[in-house]
Amino acid sequence: MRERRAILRVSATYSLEVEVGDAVHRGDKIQTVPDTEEAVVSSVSGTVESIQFDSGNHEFVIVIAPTP
Amino acid sequence: MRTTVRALLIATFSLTVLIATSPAIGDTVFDYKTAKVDSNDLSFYQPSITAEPYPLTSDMRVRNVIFCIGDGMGINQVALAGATVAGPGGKLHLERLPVSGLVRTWSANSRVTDSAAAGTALACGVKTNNGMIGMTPDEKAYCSILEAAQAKGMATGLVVTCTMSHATPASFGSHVKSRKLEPAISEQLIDNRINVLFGGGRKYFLPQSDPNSGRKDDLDLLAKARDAGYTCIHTPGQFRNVEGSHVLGLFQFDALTTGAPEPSLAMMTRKAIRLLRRANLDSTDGRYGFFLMVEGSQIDWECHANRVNGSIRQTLLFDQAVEAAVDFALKDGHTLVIVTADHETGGMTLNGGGNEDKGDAELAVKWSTKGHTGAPVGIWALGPGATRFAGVQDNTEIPKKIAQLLGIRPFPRPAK
Repeated sequence: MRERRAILRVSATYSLEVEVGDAVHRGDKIQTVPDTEEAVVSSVSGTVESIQFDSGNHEFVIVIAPTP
Repeated sequence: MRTTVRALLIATFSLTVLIATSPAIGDTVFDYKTAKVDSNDLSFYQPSITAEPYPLTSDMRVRNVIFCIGDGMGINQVALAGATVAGPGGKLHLERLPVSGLVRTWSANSRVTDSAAAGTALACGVKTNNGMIGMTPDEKAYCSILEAAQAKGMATGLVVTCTMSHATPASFGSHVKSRKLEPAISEQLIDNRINVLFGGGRKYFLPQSDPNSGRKDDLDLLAKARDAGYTCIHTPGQFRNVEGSHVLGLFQFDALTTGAPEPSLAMMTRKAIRLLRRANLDSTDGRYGFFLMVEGSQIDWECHANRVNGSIRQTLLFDQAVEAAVDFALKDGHTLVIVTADHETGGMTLNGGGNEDKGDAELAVKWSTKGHTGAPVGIWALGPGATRFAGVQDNTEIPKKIAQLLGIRPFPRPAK
């Protein structure tokens, strides 16, 4: 079955560790929260297709497309 | 030194075709689905004709406080906007305030703050965790400087270009565990009877039965506000003509577009000052003055997107509002104006290049992140008591100093 795009929403306060075009694997860090052990990891493998800033929620919306 | 940077940037902007699709000014309801503004158009901005500092007011009693916050406005955002419109030797209005210093911005749980923790520090004088509003990490609510001023009898106001319930204004008028609780924040803003509320975010004031609502309950907060004595407005005509001791102006369902025909941040600031003076005169013979917080909310948003022109435009819109505050303060003589930022966004750096004499100098802007940084931010002050804000300080010290100048004590203090 073909995988769907994954949409991750993360806080916009902290830097991202991925850019558009990056290949990511399931479990790779998307964002590390400074001064804590917290990290946001990718739930899927694929390529970062887009990163948008959602000002209302102050979040980054990251779209990861499955690698063909 | 010649202002080649300015010339190049203005030349770039002047080539841009203006978008002429904005609705005509009238009594139409706003609510655009998308912003209809051109970030390259800086024609709205009138730079100072001089770089001389504004006069340092001789010390008198502080009657009014206008607290201006540029969200995400680092020192380089200020420098870039200034270089663009006034050249390397020129200054923005905010840079002409006679007292300046630096502010450290860390939060209770991170060297990189968000606007909720930074807003809480600037409003309540206490550190909290990122995401929390008006309370310490153990969820103990603290009185904001706005609430303390109101308890002293001062009229109060919040003027922003984001939703009225976004993190920075929320920090001055509410206490919640998460900045995401915008419906609850909106309720608290009304319950707190803040005299003037100008900004966006009408969706959080509408019951869920309304298709534009952002609430998940049946509370009609606009009706509640009217019952509480607020005049509720949302059109340019209403904005021009409104009077009253309590005015709720929500000019979009979501954030403002910061384009015409909405009132600009400077227009809202001028109107708020007039209403607050009148509210105070009507209720207290003018003895107690007012406290007004003005936020340039969208500098942060442009810097999150690493948009250079947008950052310049939003900083200039904010600077116009500062000019409005300064105009009033210089005439009044009893008004303290403080300008600062909650944090820096984008890690903006300005790299030189080229040769000014040959006319090919460019100010190359680079970004180190799409998030916030832990860089200190600037602070500028004018009016009685302004010298107290010189030097390097923690963000929690700012409302403490305001409280001292207003004779408010103790501060910080838990909320009732």
